[in-house]
Amino acid sequence: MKLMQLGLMLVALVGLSAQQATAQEWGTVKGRFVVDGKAPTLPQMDVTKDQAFCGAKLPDPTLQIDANGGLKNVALWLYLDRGATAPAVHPSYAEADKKPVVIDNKNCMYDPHVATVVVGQPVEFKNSDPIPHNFKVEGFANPGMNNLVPVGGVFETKFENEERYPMNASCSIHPWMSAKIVVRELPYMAVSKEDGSFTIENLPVGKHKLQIWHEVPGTIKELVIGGKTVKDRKGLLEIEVKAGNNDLGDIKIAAGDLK
Amino acid sequence: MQISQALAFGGPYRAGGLVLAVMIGAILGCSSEPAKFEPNRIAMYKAELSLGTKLDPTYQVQPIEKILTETFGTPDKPDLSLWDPKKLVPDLAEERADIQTEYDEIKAELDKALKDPDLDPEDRADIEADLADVKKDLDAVDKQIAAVEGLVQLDMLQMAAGPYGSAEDGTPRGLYRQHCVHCHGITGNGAGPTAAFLNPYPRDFRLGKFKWKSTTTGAPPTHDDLKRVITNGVPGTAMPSFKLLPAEEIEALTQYVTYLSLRGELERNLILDFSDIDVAVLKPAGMQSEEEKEYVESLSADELKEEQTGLKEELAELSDPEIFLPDYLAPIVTKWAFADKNVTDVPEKPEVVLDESIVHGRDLFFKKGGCATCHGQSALGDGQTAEMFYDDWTEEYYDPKNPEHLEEFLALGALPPRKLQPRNLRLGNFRGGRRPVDVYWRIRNGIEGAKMPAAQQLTEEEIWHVVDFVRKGLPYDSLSQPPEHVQENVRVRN
Repeated sequence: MKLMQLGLMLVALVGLSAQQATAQEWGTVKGRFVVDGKAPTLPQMDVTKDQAFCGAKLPDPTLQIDANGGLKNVALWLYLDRGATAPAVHPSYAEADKKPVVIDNKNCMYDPHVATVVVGQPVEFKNSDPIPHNFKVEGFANPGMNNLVPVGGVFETKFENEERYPMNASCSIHPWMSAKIVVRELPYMAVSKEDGSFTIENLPVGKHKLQIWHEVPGTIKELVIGGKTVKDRKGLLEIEVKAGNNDLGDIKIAAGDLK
Repeated sequence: MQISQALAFGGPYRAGGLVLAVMIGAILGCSSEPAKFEPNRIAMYKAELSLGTKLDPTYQVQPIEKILTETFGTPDKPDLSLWDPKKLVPDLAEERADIQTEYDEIKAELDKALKDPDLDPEDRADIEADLADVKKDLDAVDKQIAAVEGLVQLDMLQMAAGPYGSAEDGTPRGLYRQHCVHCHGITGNGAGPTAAFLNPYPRDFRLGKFKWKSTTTGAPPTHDDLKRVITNGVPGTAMPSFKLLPAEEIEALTQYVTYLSLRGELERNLILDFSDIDVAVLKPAGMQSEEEKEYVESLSADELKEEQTGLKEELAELSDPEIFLPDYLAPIVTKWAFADKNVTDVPEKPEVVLDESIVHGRDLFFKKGGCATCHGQSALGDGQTAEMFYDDWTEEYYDPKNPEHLEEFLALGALPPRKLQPRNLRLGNFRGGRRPVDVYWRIRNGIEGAKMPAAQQLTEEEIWHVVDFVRKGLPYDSLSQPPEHVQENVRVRN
């Protein structure tokens, strides 16, 4: 019953946004997360089983910083206050949100390490390794799952509820493996790339709050943007989106906060 | 000599008697105080760690307790007065009202038609058929509402709740405290007085997760699943069978376990949401973290006032039954009430020659099933097991990769973490039951809260082969003298 209502609401929402598309102006937000200072180097992870294939050690994927200080795998998503109405969704997302998100097991590591998924979007848990893996996914709003994915296999699923913070995926066979899955109702979200850069396309023009998160500290409670320090316990950053491109520039996160 | 000896000892004995009297007084004094549900301090501390600040007693901790007491009552006096289907399943209640209206209209039409002496029998049949259709819809909705209402019933909870004894009419009271509390605790937190001495630890109900069930991973157990565990016990653990209790008492206990689970789940969700509200501006100065203090000091008097008012409104809203019943309780209750929807269908076991099925099963055990990775080449539970595996109940407070806060959690009543072991399949003992269907469910759905994954890659027929292999194709080792073993990967490394 609830689902049907939700479905109707979504249909209404899509209809609404399609109507508004002509009048609504959109802006794309870009930026780059940079580590300020010397971040700790994480020791390599010990491989305790299937060493013949996985090797004896694997790099720890939780903290990845490039030569220019760019921080990979910072997730950010549009944050709505309790009871706030959701902004319009740009029509370009309609198709994109139907495409499956693939989370693969490659060389005893998850690829990607941080994934973003829209509620209802198909997710494919894949295993490209020659050894069996399994996905144990735990969140709060969604029921947990734990499925074995054989060599070359795929497990398809969908998440029906928004998660306030990313879900955790792990492998019951290989304890060092873990991935994070951001599940949101709205498609306005991103994960920073190798160089720390991110893009959220086609946000409706106006004021928005972005919630910023990284696996190590959780929500980013303090950052420096445009020379200004922003502190927020929930990792919220208020931005004003103008039509066209909005470059937030370098967003600095203190190395000390990544311990 | 003897007299003087007695006298010599008289002093300390008298003192001992006095201490004893005081102790008895203290115990009696305690027992006359009403039993209380314990707050989930572990979940609260976990929230505090991630926030970097303390939860506020007035604006966060107490409102949660208040909501829980309003919704569930106390261990002595369960209270379900807020459980109105109109609020818990408003959609269903509305649907029912609509169908009822329709039914009444058709009924009136029929009554009118029946008074007509020239009524065409065909017309009559049409109206009657319509009425029957609507009645069917009505029954279907009623059945769903009944599932919600029947999940926990006050008279059943009253039999299980309160101190042990009986009501005036002889119905039992306090069954939970008679049979369960010493292990599972008054709150159902699995930390009763005996818990620390048991291996495995008693189940903590507050996560709403249960291992031995017929439903898919992530779904709650059905009523029958819980009842089966209470009736049969869990072989190989301290959980006994309660088969000798009258059916009604088992029903009462099943509902009481459900009640404690629902309560625990609601509490965890409330802790999550209340802790997400930043109450820095309402906190007394001593309670604020540095960061919060800095923030509050940065506000002007007007801003502070405005924030405080807004925040109080938000908190009042969350504490309003009109909000928390549909938003928080309803999703948990519906999940449990309709657990039957998630039961895994078990196809009939195909007629096969047992020996052949075992051969197939053995092959699947090693290859496609991937069972041997954990259960080992010889099924002794000695596969390459990761050394960092703990179950979900333990991972609530213990992250083996980040163990630094363990001491604090232990001080709050968490039990020392124990590593999870893959089952030795050669003991002929299966905790979730040894019927073929029990083993089928374990393989098809995995084990909730543990690491055993669902073998979704196997066909139904293949699962039956594995069931045959596990039940009939393995050598039998005596339970009292299982063979000594070291895990494969540890063996290789040393």
